[in-house]
Amino acid sequence: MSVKTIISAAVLSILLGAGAASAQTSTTSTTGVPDTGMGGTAAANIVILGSSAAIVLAGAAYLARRRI
Amino acid sequence: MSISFKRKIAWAIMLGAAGVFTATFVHAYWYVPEMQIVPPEDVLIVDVSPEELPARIRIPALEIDTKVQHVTVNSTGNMASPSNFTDVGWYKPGTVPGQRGSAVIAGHLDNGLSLPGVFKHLDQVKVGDDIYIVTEGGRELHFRVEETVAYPYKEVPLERLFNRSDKPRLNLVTCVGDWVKAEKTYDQRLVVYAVLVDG
Repeated sequence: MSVKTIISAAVLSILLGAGAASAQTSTTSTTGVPDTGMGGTAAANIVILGSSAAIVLAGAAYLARRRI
Repeated sequence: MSISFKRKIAWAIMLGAAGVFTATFVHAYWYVPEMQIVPPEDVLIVDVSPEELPARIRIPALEIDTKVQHVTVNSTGNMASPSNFTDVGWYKPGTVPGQRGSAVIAGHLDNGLSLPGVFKHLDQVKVGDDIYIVTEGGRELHFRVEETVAYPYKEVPLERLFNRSDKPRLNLVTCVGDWVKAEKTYDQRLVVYAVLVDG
């Protein structure tokens, strides 16, 4: 397995883990009142969206180059 | 390593990243799945006609006219929030709007991309503003704002908020204040207290 493959697999694992962590933001220690805001997770979500979009684009470019 | 294998790896990574992108976007922008549980036995659920249950809420001063979801409690024992950022959630195990006691309706301040939720501008509502609840049967209940108070989120007077014996009231709740990273929530809750004037 090449170094490139290992790095790619590691990046994917990190992104998957971050996605799962982001999906657990509804929990709170507040008693009784609802959680009605998620704005504080925006920065983390934007990083995840940007990173995953970059990986998709890079993957598409790699595959397109290989096809030629 | 063969080219075919490398292509397969590239496809796998690309699809994985696309999955992460989609899941994050849906969760942050559009949908907030929250597990709801059956309320504790000591929580009274009033047996009323389905036509009396709230269907929509209108707040003309804020140009809000949206659907009312019926929510219970989440896995932590708190009132559940609506499953998206555009609807509001009525606390079903509590008071039905128009009946004795305080009906509680919550809406989001913002979503996971910091874009406005349905109650983004709830802090701009003023004493005397009108709030209308339209029931499933089409009846309109008219409430008028009496007071707005922002509390530290651990000091919300729950007995007043969820009061079951007062005159017919409607209490709207949303988050305000600063984000508490450790708790993953805002540090205050804004409560708008309204009283039934017609309906």
